[in-house]
Amino acid sequence: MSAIIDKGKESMAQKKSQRNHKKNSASIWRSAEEIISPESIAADTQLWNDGREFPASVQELIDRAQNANLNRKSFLTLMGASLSLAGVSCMKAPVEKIVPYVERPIGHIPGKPVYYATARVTADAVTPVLVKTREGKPIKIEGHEDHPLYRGAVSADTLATIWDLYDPDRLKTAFIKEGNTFKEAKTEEVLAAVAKKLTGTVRILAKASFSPSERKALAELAKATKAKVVTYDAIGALAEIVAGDEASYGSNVVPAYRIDKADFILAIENDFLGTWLSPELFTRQFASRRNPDKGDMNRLVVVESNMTLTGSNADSRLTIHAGSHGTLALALANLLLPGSPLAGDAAVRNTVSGYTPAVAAAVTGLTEEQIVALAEELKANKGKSLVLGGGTSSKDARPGSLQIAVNLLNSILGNEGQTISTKAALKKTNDLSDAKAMGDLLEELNSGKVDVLIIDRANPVYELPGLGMADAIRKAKTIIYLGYHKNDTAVEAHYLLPVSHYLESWGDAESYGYYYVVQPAIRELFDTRSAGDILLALAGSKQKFSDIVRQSAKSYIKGDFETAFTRALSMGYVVVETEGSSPARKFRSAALANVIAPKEALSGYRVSLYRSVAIGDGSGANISFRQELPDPISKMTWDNYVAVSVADAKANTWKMGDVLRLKTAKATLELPLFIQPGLRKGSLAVAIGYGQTNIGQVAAGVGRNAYELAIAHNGVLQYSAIPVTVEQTSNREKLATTQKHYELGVKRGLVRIATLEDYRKNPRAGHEHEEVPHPGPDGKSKAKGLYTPHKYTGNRWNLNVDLTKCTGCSACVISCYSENNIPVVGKDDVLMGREMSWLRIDRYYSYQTEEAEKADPDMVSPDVFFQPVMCQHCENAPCENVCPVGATGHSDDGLNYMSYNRCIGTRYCANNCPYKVRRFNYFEYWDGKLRDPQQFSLNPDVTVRSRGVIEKCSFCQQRISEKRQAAKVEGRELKDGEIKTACQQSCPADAITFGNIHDSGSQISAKTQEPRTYKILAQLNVEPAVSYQVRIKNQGKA
Amino acid sequence: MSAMENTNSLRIGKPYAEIDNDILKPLETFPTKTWWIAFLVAASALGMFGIVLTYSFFKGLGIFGLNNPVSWGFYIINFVFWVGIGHAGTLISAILYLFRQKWRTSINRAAEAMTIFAVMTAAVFPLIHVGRPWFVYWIFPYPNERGPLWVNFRSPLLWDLFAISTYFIISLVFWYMGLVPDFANMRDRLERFKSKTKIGQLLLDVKKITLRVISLGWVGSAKTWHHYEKMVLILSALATPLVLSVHTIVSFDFATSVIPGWHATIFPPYFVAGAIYSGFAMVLTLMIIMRNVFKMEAYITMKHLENMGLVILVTGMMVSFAYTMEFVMAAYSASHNEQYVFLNRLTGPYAWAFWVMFTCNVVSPHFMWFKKLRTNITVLFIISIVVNIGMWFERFVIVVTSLHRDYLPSSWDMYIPTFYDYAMLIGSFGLFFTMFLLFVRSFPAIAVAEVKADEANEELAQHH
Repeated sequence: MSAIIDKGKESMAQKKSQRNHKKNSASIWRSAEEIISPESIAADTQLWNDGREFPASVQELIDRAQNANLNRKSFLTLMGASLSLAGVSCMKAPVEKIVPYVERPIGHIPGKPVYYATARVTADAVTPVLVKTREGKPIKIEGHEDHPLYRGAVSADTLATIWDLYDPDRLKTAFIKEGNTFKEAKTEEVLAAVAKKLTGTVRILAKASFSPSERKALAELAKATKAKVVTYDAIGALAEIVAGDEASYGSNVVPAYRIDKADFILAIENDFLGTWLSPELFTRQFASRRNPDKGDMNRLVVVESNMTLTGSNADSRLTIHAGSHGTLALALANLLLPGSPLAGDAAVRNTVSGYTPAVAAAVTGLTEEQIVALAEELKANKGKSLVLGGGTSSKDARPGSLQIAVNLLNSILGNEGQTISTKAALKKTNDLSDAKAMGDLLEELNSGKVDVLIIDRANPVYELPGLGMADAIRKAKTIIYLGYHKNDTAVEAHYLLPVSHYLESWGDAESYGYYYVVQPAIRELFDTRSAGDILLALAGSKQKFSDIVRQSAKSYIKGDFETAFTRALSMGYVVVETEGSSPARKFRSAALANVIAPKEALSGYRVSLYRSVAIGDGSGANISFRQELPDPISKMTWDNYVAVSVADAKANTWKMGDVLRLKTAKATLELPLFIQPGLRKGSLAVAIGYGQTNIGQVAAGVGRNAYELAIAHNGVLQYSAIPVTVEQTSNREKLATTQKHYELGVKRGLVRIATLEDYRKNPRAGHEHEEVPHPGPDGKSKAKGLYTPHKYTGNRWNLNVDLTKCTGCSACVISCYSENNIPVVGKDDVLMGREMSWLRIDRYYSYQTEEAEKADPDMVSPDVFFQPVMCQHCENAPCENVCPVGATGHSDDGLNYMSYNRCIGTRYCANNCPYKVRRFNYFEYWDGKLRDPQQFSLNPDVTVRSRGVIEKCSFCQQRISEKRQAAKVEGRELKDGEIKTACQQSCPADAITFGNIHDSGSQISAKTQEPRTYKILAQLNVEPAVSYQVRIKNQGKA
Repeated sequence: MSAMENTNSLRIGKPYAEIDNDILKPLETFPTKTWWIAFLVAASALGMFGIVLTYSFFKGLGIFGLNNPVSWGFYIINFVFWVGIGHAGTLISAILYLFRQKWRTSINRAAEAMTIFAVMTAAVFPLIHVGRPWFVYWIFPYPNERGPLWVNFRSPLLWDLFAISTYFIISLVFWYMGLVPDFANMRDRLERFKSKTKIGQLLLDVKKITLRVISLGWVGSAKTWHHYEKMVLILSALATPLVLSVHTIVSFDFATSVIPGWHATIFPPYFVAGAIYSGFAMVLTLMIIMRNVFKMEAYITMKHLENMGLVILVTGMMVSFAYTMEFVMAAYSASHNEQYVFLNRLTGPYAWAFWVMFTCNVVSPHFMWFKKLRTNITVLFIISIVVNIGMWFERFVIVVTSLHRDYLPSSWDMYIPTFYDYAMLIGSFGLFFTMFLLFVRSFPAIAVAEVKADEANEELAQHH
């Protein structure tokens, strides 16, 4: 190594070599041995880096390189190292081991899904679900078809919980706050540390729970720490009912609403098909009575100020001014009171007598005739009708205000006990939400009396800005947060305890006469614990939560426990009480004092807050699939907005996307406006659930927090008709809607609506704009195509959507995303018009006659029409012949298939598709874009598409294959109804039929032969395999 | 047109050697400053084309303004536009040859070159506009190992492939055959050049050898000329139907679809007329520039320019007729969807594009009725550019306006081109002009042999 150094001139090395030369007493050396001696090496290394030739770590190497007084030697050393390191990359790639099951778990067949029955519990309801798992990983939520009440109904929100499980922004472990940052820690250790801290004044802030076991665990914690438990529910849907029922009947149950038993349903500011309590159950019950061909048809009248999903499904929709719902309810009571059981009640009479039709007309904006006619209809359906009221956008300043008025109506009509039953109701509702206790807690917090505040899965900082929650909470000395995300409340806490997803944990729930066992479908993915286990651990209990669940189950399960419990696990539920009618509760007229019903017209702008179908209360907002699910009515994604009426937009020359500044006494909110037909002048609406500052990468900063507009009245939050002043700002925002046009729907024969009356007279009613393909030369036969027609030997799949049943709830859309690995594209690409949904729901506004359209220039009460559109699997598919590489073709069972591997992406097929159902992967949406553990949510049966290929609905080909193979193995024919597409499986309205039209006895054959059946764009002679049934509206006798 | 031949002589009236000198001068001298500036501009645009293309390969087609209803945008518009441009060359050299239109000789070479380069520019677009360009070779039907997978002969895109490649090959052969006598001329002239430097001499030798090879041993004997003339006649006959077929087949991309605004039987003749219209406009633009820059006024005379102006007038009116007919057909169709599309063209959000097209294509050619205007270089130049703007917008109207609002109003959306779309449009001009500028520096831009032959014929005619 010294051999090269004599060429150096001024380096350290040269001095050393001179020393060596001197030692050897020769100016010229002859061999290496002459100059290399142990001393020379020692001197060599001494000179360099304190005697250590080689750095101890990579960091040191880098440091040396950076700090080196780069002489020739060090330069060469580093060069040598770099060169040899450059060679390192040629090493073999690290071995990734794929280990097959050497010993397969008993009963487990790789590739075969295993389903578990469990239940999803929210603050509003319990939904029984099946979890589809593959190789131990849950991949999809499905409806529980064997459940007697739900019969497979499941909502979009529940279907999206599969992504909650794999949310990369979940709390994956416990955190301890140090200064302003959170430090990761083992949950076990934090639990132990926190348990010791629970001294002094402890308060627990929790959300309402349907779980008897969680209540026990909570009670145990409260007992151990002498804590007071405060429950609250910012949305308060159930709490409103309980408050109303307590006042009007002295009973604290949430009754069972037997929508399927009602011939006439009146919903006042109530979105029971969209967001209220259990919309999926109500949809199932409601749609089960929408059978015009069987003569079984209920009638739904909706009175509302905002355009909701329920309103858009109404047979008659009456648009009122925001905040006038109480007035309308009392006006109806006034008209109905004579001759009713409550006619003799002077208090009732005195309260309602002032609400004449004239007064109500002035306040609501309706005509007197409309109100009288509605009362007449209710009268005609006594005992068979159902009046529903309440929900986020009718939450008034007094608890249960609208509920009391609605109870009065139901009692007058004799519906109480019939369509509203306390049998199989939701009982034990004391702890739903306690405004008074919440007020006390605030006071305690503000006075600094609280030492430890435990927050159990609640988000008060985000939900209750009107109560000054954030400031109050900070006064607690120690805050312990249990939850799923590092959300706006969690960031204020000192300890974060991660709660497991419901698919990872044991639990139970009781609701509407059923007891559910929540069972895990997978072990905890991360260092999380079920909420029950955390509560128990904090209480210092040694018990396991699963044991508590078993104990709780004992009081619901009859017979031999082990057998019955196993059965309960496999079924997912136990029937506790069967539904039926109940004795009518007696209405207490004193309750009416709480009803808010203005007698004079409201002036100015009034904004109502509402929950959107996709985002709800915002706790699941961090799931991009929820964010990108178009709102059923406005088709908006990725944002909230202020819905304004057409009249206001015209009067102020507002345009879509103009930013408005809404001001209440305390808060200001700037939001883009969206012109929403179906609103009256002055009514505004804003969705809550948006505008969270902390929750995760997806939802943080999306939209604005509308909770800020809520007005607090002694702890009671008012969401309905909040008076605001409105200013237009100079800003504009782009609105990411997936549908911008709705005109021409009727003229093009897409929208087909007929009244029940017309349908009875003429079963072909509604087909007025039908266009037929050009006939053959004889004027009768079909025009002959250029190519030989397809031959179908066995099955031929067809799909039908009954638009009389379909409510547009969008469960099918989410189900399709989940089943088929469809990517979300984000707001920017939605703005570009590149959403990937294979199944979209087209929404049209229409009028039954041209005169009606002209009479309503401000679009106050248009008809709303939903049409789910997926690939129509055309017989003469225009997409098939244009593909230059034959990547899309026709299978012998009638499917228009896509072979992604073959597709080169000319997009000619997408252009030539008259239905525009083909989607193109403009960017790479999956590969490298998934954050761990999102990849587990993918369905292994469906190819993940790469950039540059077209994709579209396949009629769930993988589901067809699965059942076809099963039938083949069993040596039988496929049974009708055996194959269910993902959209069909999750449809709570049962609107979708799928099957083989070659089987003359199949349901689909029967459906397609009904006179209501039509195919869209049939005139193109593409012969789609998807058909629709005319939407029948029951206009009643009125 | 025959009247013009008799009244106006096309005689140049210069010795043959001088004709040689004039035409071959740009090839034998160092490029001028003007050329360099033009070349740098064109090459920069081409560079931008390359950069954007590379970026789109790595990132995806999402960088462009495409979306669900409008899956084709600038790429296909540019494709049809450039294929259209590529029509005039073969029309001039083949059809006008068959009709014995002598005035074609001065412009046919450059027009053919323009054709070749325009078709090359056009052909790039369908290949790069696919989602997975690395698999684009799958559209070529050749024996392969990809199992039973084969191209779909029902797809008009595949027909395009055949039509364009056939047209390109025939045009290239035609162009090259026309060049052979001139190459021989260049080869012979090169003998007088000597270089003082070694490297210069080497380059000169390379050039000489190349010219010797590509002039195919041309000797210019009477027999050679005899064979040559026959071959040109046959090739012209072969190329003539292609002029009509290419744009007919390109129009099938649209005409065979089910989209209202595309699905029209008038498309093939309408597209061919439009192609000739835009092609001649482009030839006119290029010729005016060329004669000014290379001082070729003697060869490309006002007569030539005027004739081309007349062709523009005629084809412009054909195109206008097609536009009108489309509306008549829609009105008569009793089909709401069809009617809506045309109403939407007139009044919808892209109505401005329609009116740009209308003004440029329908109004502007009528200036050519006036001799004063069609013999005014400035007017001709402006109109030739205006026509091509109009023809680009015609394709924009067809592609975008039809797609953005088709059958289901629920799917209607807007197509807003991004920066990258414009970059590719400008870049395509860069590609075209880079090739064209290299052409004028390395090939005789006017068919020397043909010009001289015509000159000889004219002389003979005058002597008699």
